Amino acid sequence: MKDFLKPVTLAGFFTTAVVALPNAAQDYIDVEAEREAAERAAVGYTPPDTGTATPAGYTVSGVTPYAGQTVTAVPITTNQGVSPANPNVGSLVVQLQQLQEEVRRLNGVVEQQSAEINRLKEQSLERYVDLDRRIADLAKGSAVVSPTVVDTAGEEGLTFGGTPNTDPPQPLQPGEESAYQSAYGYVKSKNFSEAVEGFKKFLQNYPYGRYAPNAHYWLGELYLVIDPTEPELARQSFQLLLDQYPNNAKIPDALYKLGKVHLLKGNSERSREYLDRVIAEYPGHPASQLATDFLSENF
Amino acid sequence: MHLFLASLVAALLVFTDHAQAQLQIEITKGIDNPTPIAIVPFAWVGSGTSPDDVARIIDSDLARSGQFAPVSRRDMLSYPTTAAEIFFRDWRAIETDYVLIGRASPSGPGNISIDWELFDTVRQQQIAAGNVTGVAPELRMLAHRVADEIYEKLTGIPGAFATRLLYVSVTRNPGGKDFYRLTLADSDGARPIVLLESREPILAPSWSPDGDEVAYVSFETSRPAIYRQNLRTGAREQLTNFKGLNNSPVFSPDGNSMAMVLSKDGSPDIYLMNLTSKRLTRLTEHYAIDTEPTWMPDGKSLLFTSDRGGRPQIYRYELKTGAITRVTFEGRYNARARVAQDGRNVALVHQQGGAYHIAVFDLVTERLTVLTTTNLDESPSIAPNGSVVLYATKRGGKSILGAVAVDGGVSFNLPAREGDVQEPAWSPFMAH
Amino acid sequence: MNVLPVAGKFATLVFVSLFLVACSNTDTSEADAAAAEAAAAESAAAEAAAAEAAAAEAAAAQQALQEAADAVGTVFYFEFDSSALTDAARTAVDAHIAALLGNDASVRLEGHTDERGTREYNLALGERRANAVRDYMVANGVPSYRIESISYGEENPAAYGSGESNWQQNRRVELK
Repeated sequence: MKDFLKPVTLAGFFTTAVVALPNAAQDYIDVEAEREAAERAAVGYTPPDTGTATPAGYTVSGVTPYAGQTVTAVPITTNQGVSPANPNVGSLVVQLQQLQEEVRRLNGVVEQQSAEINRLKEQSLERYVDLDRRIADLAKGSAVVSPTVVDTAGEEGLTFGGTPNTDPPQPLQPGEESAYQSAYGYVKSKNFSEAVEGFKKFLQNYPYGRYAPNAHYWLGELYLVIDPTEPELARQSFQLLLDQYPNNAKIPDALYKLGKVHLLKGNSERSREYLDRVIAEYPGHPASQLATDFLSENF
Repeated sequence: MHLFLASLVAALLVFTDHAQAQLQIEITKGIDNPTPIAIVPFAWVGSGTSPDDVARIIDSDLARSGQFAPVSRRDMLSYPTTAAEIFFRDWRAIETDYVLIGRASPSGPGNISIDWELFDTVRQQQIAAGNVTGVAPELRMLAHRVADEIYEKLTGIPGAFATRLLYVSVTRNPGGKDFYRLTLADSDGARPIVLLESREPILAPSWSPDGDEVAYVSFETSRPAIYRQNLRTGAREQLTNFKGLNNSPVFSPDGNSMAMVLSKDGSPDIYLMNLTSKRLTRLTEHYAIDTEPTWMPDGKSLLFTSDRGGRPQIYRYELKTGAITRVTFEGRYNARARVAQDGRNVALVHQQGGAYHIAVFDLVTERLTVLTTTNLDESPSIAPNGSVVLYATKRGGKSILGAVAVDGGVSFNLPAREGDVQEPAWSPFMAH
Repeated sequence: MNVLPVAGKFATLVFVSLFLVACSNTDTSEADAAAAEAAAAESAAAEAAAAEAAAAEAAAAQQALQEAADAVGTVFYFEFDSSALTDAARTAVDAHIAALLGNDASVRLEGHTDERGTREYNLALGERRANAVRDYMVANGVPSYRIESISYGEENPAAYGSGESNWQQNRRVELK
């Protein structure tokens, strides 16, 4: 800022000099100025519209008083010819830069909107398929099918119903039912380590079976009750269920459990995120109530 | 691996500077219930004393992970070195879940062998045991390898302690020229070695997939140029010296080519160099800034930063088709991506409310999770086991390294005693 | 803000002009004296004197332009995450262009950014700033082979430390 202040005083001081000088050399100035003006007109010169005159512009008026000798004009004309004679080119460069910035910005808007449109398209297709299935189900006279058939009655800790399952049930594969039931048997008899092995083996053999989502969920639960507990493995199981079967009826419960697991693992932010999500996305679901209670107890 | 350090010191005339470049570790946040484990001082079966405290190294590795709470030696009632000497009730009394004992001994000329055994104090039995052998100067690395095995046994995730870090340390000299040092250190910051020292900026260090080579940008000729340097032989090669930018060298996963940023044709674009023929292929062509390429682990596509949409965002380039798609949409600034080995988690710099944080973007769910709370975070680098993101941040006007678990659970800082530390690059897993 | 440097520049020019008036008057009177003493002086001598005077004038005019350029400084500042020349920067660059057109000096444009954002992107942004100045100079007649542009990104801050007061000093192109 100091650099700027000094010139101000200088400018003030020399203003009088500028005014005084032209008077001393009046006849020269007029001739010279007129010639300059004519030259400018000839090359189509227009002063820059930026509001800030170019230094060469000042050079002209500053040098003219002693420019009676024709030779002195030479360097000045050189400057005039090359630099501000074509200020439009400089403006064009600046304009081009501004345009490029503008096009990039607009490109960003287009990218965002296409992404948003794609998302909406997918969403609306999903909704249509879902609606279509429900209508078909209604036409058949049956209620909305939820995979409660999969769940053996009395599975403690599991809550079903409420949210309709939009995943079409997988056909049962040979041996699948008995493999699942045998693993679940260990849960009932509280042999949790064996149950873990059972469900792991089940998922190896029937990774996409009808009971696979249940097996993931059970593994998640079991990793939290075996000794030592395996919160990380539990998290992975619930996360797998969430990623692979986003429409499964157990999702609200899995979200609630993920909230619990993350707190166990010491990540209270992530825990909160999941609990809030259950409450926001599945109001009225039992898991939502559990999440609310858990939140008030732990946060 | 073992010979290379000795030859490196000789061939490059590098030096260690403990006072300046050595990083220290401060754990800022661990998980709430870390597993208690006792790492008993290892026996030294040989003449003299052990050249290094193996148990101490393992102890600090596991503590740094935040998932373990090693028992203080003061609290140990005895220092057993064989299974027979373990009295389980003593360890239950101090509520330790696991006990690690071990013995180090000279084996053959210049070699050291470490035997270790891990016990479960509840079940009162050995649950794992092993042996690692290597040259004596690499004793610290041997200890890290034991820590890796314990970590994997107890968490199910491979450990990444026996790995190395590359970073740039800077001694600022206001009014004069700064001092830049490209430094190589163990993953715990120990044994720093200066690979290159310069009065001009050193930038963008990265590793070859086998961990034998590094690439970086150096301004030593007063202009940026890309170099590769072999850590085994010390051989250095200048790969580019084009007009304009020469930046962001990253080896492809197969090690045969290198993606880089050049602006020789006008604006910064991504190029691919065949490392054998040195032939260049231009991948992107846009007047906007295309920079910070990073490979997907399968080598079939690259992520990069571009401001072709007005603000920096992450885009993906498919090598087969040349198709470019935008990856990130959340927020005004997403840049400098690094992909985890799972090909799914992407660590990046994300701007939120005027602050620059490290975030993880999940390529499958397209969810972005902010991991850090500091304001000027940059240069994320993911551990080869995908568990931790190392990054550069500012604290009290100084650049330091920070680390945070990908799941957000654990974080620690690695400040240097003096100067700034920036641009960390975590090595891949290294062959033993 | 814009007006101040312009006023300063103007003042410098006026000052230099006054100085030049004084010089040229002395030269002329000396030439007159020589002509009077040697009445049969050849016209070639007069021409030589005139050429000498012309050269002196040219040098003086060039010096005036150089001083005008020096007066506006050699650092041009930019807005955050922008490489567009501000009006103030453009006026300053204009002064340097005027000087560069009268000499054959080569210049180096060093682009810099503040510390925010990633290093590698900032390196590119610094280059874009340097090139914005370069392109503007080239468009105004400065041959591109006399201009070298290079970016240091956020590596060489002019002001150390965080906060906008430091950052605004670091978002710059330096002419060297």
